Amino acid sequence: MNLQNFTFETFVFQVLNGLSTSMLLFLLAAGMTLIFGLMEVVNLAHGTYYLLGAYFGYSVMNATNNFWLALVIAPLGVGVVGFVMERFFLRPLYSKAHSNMVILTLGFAYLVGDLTTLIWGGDPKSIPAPAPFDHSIELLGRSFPSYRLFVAGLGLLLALGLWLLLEKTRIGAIVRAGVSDKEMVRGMGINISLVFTALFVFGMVLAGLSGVVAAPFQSFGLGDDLRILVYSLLVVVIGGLGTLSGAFWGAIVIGLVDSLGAAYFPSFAQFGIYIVMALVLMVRPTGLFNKAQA
Amino acid sequence: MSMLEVNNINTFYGKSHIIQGLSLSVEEGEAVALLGRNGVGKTTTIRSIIGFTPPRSGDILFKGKQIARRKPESISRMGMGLVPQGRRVFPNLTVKENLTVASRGSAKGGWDLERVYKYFPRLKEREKNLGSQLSGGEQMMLAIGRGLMINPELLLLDEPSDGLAPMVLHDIADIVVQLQKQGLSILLVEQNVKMALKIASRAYVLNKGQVAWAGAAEELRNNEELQHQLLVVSA
Repeated sequence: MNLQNFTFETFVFQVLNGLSTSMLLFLLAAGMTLIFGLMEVVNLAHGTYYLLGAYFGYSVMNATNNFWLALVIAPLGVGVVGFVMERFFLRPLYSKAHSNMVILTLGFAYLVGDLTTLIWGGDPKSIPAPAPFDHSIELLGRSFPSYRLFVAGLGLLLALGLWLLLEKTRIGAIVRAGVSDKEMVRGMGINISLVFTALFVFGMVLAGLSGVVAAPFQSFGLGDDLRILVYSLLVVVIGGLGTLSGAFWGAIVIGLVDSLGAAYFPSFAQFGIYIVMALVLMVRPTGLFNKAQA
Repeated sequence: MSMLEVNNINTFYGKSHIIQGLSLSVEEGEAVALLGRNGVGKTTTIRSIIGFTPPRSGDILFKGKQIARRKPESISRMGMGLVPQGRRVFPNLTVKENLTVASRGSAKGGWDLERVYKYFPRLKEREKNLGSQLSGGEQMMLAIGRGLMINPELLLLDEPSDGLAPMVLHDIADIVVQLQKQGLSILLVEQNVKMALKIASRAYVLNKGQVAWAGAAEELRNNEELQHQLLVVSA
């Protein structure tokens, strides 16, 4: 345990750090949990799309030197890849056993992972933070990277937007209805396969977005796809499968545990998040926010 | 041209042959009852018609068009409403959302939120409640309202009486009769023979996936012996 440098300031900093990580994880897990809830696909390529977003962003950045452009274009590019994957590879498997889809997504994870190495090489890459978030600000008498605050703010904004979309629109109601009873949704004349495609692509865009957003504060490269996949899975499992609020609070928990653990319990940092998951699952086996159980 | 014409269909669950060469028809504006003991294939017939469990062979004509190989969403869009067995209200959606999800924002004189609320004032009172918070009777009203929101010409009603108190049952039966009088064609599956024969003008009785008896509802209503023979489980 490493408490000799425990001060209020460092604690606040670690919390802020953790929250910016949380928001990144939320963007990833939101898509993952909704896709699972509706389509019953555990998408093991989810982390791959995160990494792909980062690489796409890197290339757009190199070509245009405009981060904001990268922030828009890269996720859309990832969405296109997601569209191809859903339409031509996942779709034929919907009527088959679910394990087929899981294996397919794992295959995609390896395939695309290798392709990225082929295209962009194996060295870690990063993207510089954009103005006006490219320097540190004064916070509690110390300097703190303003980009992390931007990420936390953007994440909260997107979380709010997603919540409104899911809870307050007819499209959102269709998705929620589909999570509870797909067949009945079809019996009401709704083309569920169109909803599947839209949701899958949307989830991939969010994953790609989090990849670009993360790139200015953590370098990325070989292996990050699977690392981030594990984080995303943990968030989804802790929060409860298929719920947006679960993804949100699960992301908060994992982000904070990861950040505070690294600061105060460095020797346990590697598996702190797993301990939390085990504890949550012991108390609530279906996750913190699974309504089916509550 | 009949509203619905089912011709010699065969429907399977895996290897079990549930519907064995069944034929029936519903004329425009007619209410038809589909009766039979438990497990004779009434719900499977409904599932075959709406496309959830398509028949392996045979024809289903809806307004003269072949629908036996169509997807449920496209059958629904042609104007077939479904009030399924067990009601299947979306528990995680509000009453209002349950209705608007099905809405097709369609032509004048069709069904919209306002008109459904006029039929079922209780639903208006509970519009912000979740489907899971409703009583059985309220869920039934919601399931019917949802079925109407797609502006059906034919409504499939699968055991609306299931689990309802007698008072509520009476109200629901009244509503169904009203709907039929306004020109809606209805195919009604029921265990409650008395209720079904009050609503319908014709009836089919199924046995082992086949039509065992077909005729005027009145004939069956007035013949207790026939009812007993067709519908009561023999020892």
